[in-house]
Amino acid sequence: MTDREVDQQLVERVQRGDKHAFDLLVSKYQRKLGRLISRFVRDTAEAEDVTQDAFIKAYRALPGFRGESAFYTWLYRIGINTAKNYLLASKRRAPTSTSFDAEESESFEEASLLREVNTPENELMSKQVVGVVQASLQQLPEDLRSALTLREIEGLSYEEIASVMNCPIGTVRSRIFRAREAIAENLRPLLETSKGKRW
Amino acid sequence: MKQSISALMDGELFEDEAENLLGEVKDDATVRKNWAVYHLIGDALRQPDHIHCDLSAKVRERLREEPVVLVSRGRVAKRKIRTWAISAAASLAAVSAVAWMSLQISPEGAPKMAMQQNAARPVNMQTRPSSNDYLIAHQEFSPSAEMDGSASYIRTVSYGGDEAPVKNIPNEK
Amino acid sequence: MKLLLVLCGLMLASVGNVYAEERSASLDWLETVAFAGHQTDYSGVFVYQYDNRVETSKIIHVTEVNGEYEKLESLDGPQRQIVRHDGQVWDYSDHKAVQVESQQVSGKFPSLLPEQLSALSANYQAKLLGVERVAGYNAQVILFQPKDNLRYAHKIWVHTDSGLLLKAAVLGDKNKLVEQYAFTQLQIGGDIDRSWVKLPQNVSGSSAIAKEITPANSGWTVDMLPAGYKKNMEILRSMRGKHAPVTQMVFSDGWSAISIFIEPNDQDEDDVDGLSSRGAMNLYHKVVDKNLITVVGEVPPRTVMQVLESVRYNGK
Repeated sequence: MTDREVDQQLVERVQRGDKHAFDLLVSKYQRKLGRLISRFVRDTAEAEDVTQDAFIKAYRALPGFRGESAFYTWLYRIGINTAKNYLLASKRRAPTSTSFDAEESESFEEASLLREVNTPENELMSKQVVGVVQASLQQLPEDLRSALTLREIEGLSYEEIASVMNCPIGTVRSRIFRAREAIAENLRPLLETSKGKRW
Repeated sequence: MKQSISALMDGELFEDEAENLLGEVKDDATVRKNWAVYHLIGDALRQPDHIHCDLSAKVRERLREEPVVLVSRGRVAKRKIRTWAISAAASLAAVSAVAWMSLQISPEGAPKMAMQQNAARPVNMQTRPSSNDYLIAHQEFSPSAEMDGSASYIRTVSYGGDEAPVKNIPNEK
Repeated sequence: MKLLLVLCGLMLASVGNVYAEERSASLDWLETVAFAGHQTDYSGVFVYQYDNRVETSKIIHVTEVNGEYEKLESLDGPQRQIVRHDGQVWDYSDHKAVQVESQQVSGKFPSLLPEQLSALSANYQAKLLGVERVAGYNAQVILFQPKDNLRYAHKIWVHTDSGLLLKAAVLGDKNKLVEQYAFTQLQIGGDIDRSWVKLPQNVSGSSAIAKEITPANSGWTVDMLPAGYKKNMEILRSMRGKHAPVTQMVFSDGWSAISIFIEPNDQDEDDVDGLSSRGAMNLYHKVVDKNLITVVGEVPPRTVMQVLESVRYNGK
């Protein structure tokens, strides 16, 4: 199965009523989509709201997704359109921003309730996560580190990594898993102790 | 188990294996957690400048209000299971690509092709659609138009139609 | 190719982080450019430089609730105006409006898709070159160096604030300038003339390119496209002055595209072979087995010629 097929399988599960499968899609694509949206919506907290909105829209539109394009391509369009509409709406709102009506203020409030305020704590947390991941990667034995790097950064398939590293595919699979697990081991305490378990 | 999750996210499980594994997601929150952590690691390596807190809990919260999506089974696309043909085709493509690359490296490659041509003659602009038509028809689907917007049309604006045809250039050798 | 990829992978693995970051930063810029070009209101004057010529044009771009409007006007030579509203393009010259193009795809925004970006990063090496000033604005300079000599290098200057493309150069062998667009004067946002924003009335004249477009599979194949070119589409379309529909195939490597047009050669003489060029665009005609084949693309002359030589009929 290719990556695209994995997504398709998850989509089909959602289409059969499995909401958990959608969770997996969200945890997979949230940062990629979030980064895309943050190019257009500069404010971090607003960008996170728009990212959430995009996922909700995607969920609603999912019954119509036929798999003609890759899931991410489809999600990407929804993300861009959500960002575009958000920008247009704030553009229209801008001149009269001091006097938005009740309906708007309500949705505003709702948005800020759901929004995680971008506290310095949150930023620190991101830095810590990245720091732990990078430090853990450096501590890994060479063969685990190369396997994971070739996979995550270069995007090579197991077969390609096997020919680069001159080892069986099964070994690649296990090296990548061990690398991930070793890093995850260092990451878990950080994620679990974090306030409100938001991470 | 965890190793299967790792392989699944790399697209390296067979469909039936994946189906079984995903079946457990419903009941087993640790599967979801590991999936989330492994993806966080990947993103932290690829885009260290943009790691934000996990939105999936919040999205899940908001989805609680949403009706469950249901698509009748007939409409869900069917796929083949365990297609070896795909990897076979891929390696074939790799071979021809290597052949192609070596052709490029050979210094005679390009000029030889050019030399097979007679000296270039002007295209008859009266009886054929003008070169501009081809340029516009091409531009319609070129990604470069996406980058330049209608600035890319300047290529066709700059010389209007037939009075100033596209410059014909003689073959260099 | 695979071998090459693998070798690259090996070399990159040690410094993977640095490269991956730079590459993804460059691609991020591209996404921003594709977005900003549609989303930003601006008006300015730019020069287009190619084949030792310089031409000046004026451009205005605004976004309205029902889409984008853009007006392009040549400032030297004969008067010429092009107005675009989303996918529709009108050409005003000789005091009449001719609709030259109408894309059937609505909501085209934006078409720089992830596949395109990944194709780009596979076929070009992206490099951030620092910040320079263009038309009074600070611009991030990014170079996209192709991995072979069958395509051009692209250098772009992106406004660091808005993401608008301020300057773009296409470079050939030995970094020789093939063509270049650059703003010389630019206003971003603010009070921009919108008086011209309306759809043209009484469109007269015949379409240069009719809208009859159907997907097709003609049975023609191309054996020797440069590595990384993927087929985007194959259609049957009508064209001005042509009775029979013309087959058009489009291939792209993420940045530039190559179109191949195939039509019955209904002319008696068959001496139409020839190469023509305008800036980065090269066009090559040749009659093969009673068919006129035309290859067009923003690629070097050698590429359109090689591609044409490898076009053959493979049967349905």
